[in-house]
Amino acid sequence: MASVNFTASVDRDLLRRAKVLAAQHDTSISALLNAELRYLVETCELAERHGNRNAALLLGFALGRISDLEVMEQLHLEHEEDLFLLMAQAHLPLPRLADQATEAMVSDLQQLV
Amino acid sequence: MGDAPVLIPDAGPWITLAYADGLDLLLKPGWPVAMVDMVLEELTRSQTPTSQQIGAWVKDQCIPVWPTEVCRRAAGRRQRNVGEMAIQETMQALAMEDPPRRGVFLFEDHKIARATFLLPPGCLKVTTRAFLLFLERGGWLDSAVAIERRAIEAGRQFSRLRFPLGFPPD
Repeated sequence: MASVNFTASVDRDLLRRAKVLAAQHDTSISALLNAELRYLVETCELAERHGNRNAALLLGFALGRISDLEVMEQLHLEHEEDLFLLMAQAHLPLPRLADQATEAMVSDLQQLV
Repeated sequence: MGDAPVLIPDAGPWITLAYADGLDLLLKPGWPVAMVDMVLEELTRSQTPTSQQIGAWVKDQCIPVWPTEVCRRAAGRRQRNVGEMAIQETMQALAMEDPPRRGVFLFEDHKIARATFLLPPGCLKVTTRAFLLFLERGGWLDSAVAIERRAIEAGRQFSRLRFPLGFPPD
């Protein structure tokens, strides 16, 4: 299958960790990216073909476009824990605040000690 | 440490740390930890992979469970955001103490992004990730990332048991 080059931006720390992972498994960042992207795309496509919006909902939550309450409502989940488990099962990350916001919180905590 | 803030996690951080087998991390800074009654109710009212672990840890560590009006009035109802409402009530209660007490409220990232809390002076709202990084930089924890990874790995194992039909769930 033909490969193409493209430009994208990625979290600096994530890229560092991906390089370590790739080295540990004697592979490349491109191979890792292909594998995970393929999993994500094929899972969503399969779900869509079956008229199942669940994958799209979880992806929307991971991207911060749909709230946890809305996903839980749509998927009839009663527990926050079930949402955590479904995200883990779907290989999707929980939504993240910007690193800058996280660092500001760390700084606030450090001032308490 | 008389002026130490009290650490009050929302449901999400309890779940994440329980999956990572890292509930003891809450004690590392040496601050008192408290559980809000409605949050405990949400975490333990049904049997989940972590409900027993969290309930037992709270009991073993003699973590005080703070009562809220929200929990009293929500008795028997299964409404999704009552834990947050109880947390907000707890924030206000801290501010009304004389002198006002400092509190550090832990949430998952998405909760901070979505919910608007009226944060009293002296209170902080921080994410589990920020708390773990704080522990790492304070020398209480080797790797914040390793804790998050452990939670996800355990979550994947448990998710196959809890949702045996696989993903996407029907």
